[in-house]
Amino acid sequence: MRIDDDDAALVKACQRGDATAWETLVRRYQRLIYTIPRRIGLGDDDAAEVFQRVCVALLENLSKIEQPERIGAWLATTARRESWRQVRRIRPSESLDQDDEQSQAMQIPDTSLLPDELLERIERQHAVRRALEQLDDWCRTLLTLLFYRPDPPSYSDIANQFGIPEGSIGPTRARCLQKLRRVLEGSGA
Amino acid sequence: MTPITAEQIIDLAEGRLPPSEAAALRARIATDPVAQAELQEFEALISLMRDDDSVDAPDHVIARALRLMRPSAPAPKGEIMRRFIATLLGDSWQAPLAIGLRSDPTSLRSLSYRAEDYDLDLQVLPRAGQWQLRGQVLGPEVDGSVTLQGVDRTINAPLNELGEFHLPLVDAGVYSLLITLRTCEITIERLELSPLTPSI
Repeated sequence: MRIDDDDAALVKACQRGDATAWETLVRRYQRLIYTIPRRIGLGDDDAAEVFQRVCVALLENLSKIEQPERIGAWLATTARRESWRQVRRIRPSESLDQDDEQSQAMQIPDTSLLPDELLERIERQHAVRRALEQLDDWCRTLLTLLFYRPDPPSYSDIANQFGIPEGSIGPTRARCLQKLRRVLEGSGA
Repeated sequence: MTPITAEQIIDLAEGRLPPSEAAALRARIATDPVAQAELQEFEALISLMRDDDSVDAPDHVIARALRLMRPSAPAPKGEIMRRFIATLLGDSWQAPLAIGLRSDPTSLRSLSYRAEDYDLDLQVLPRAGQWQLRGQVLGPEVDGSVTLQGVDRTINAPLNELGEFHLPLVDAGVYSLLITLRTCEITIERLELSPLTPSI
């Protein structure tokens, strides 16, 4: 199973019990799954619990997933629902009526904890990171330095660090962003 | 007038241009629908990257999920029941913390054990002065049950199809946990559920 295998192929391989495909799939989406409970405000232990529950749900539902190519969206939605359930577990004072709790927890995410538009933004950010991984090393490094660092270095610093002309950085950055956009368009994200 | 280049559009999207130059370029782009669409796309893309505060899951969290799918072991020969004592591999309360920090006895405690082909993940949660134990057995077979035995109380619970179990609340104390599977028994001999003595 190659790292660039598409999601549908990975899901199908997982359905056959391919542990390598499972590892690729889990590693590919670990950041997305783990970020959602953290964004909702859960701590390390509870986020870890949500992560495991999402993976168990994935394993249980491998054969039922109708659009394996959209597994990222399925995982994001499941992570939000499991995060909501975890919030209910650790803050029982906020629970719904006992009779309703289980059915609602199974079906209805509390979207106030993570609105749809924010969930979609997290999914898009994950898609951008995946697209970035498909760029060449230099583009990936440059875009990471410029756009993912809270304190991005100046062109002068980058030029000194990598021993390249400062004047080449702007045009290179532009080409790398264009490549990134093309990869995203190709992925349908 | 020279055409607007992609680099100019990206400089604008990134916020690198001085205000007067940016305003002039925006005015030109406003008359060019193609350039305007390009600018919006790059602004959105750059915004997604700059605002991305996603975090990687810790390695041990990923490792636990990876163990959910393991190759099946061959069926054992004969009817002999094998018995194992589980060995503690990790305890979140014993994990190294930054200088000046102490383990929080009110937080969830994660324990991982190994016994032959089996991994056992336990989670101990403090609940209003009592303790709740839940966990998962990962291995070649997970058809069975768990028994938590204390001085004056014994509790049983089945394993579900994923080897998970949940036990009701129990008082603080020292317990043993017996996992009975079709072909083997695994024992955690000393499981201390207490906020005061976090070692096992």
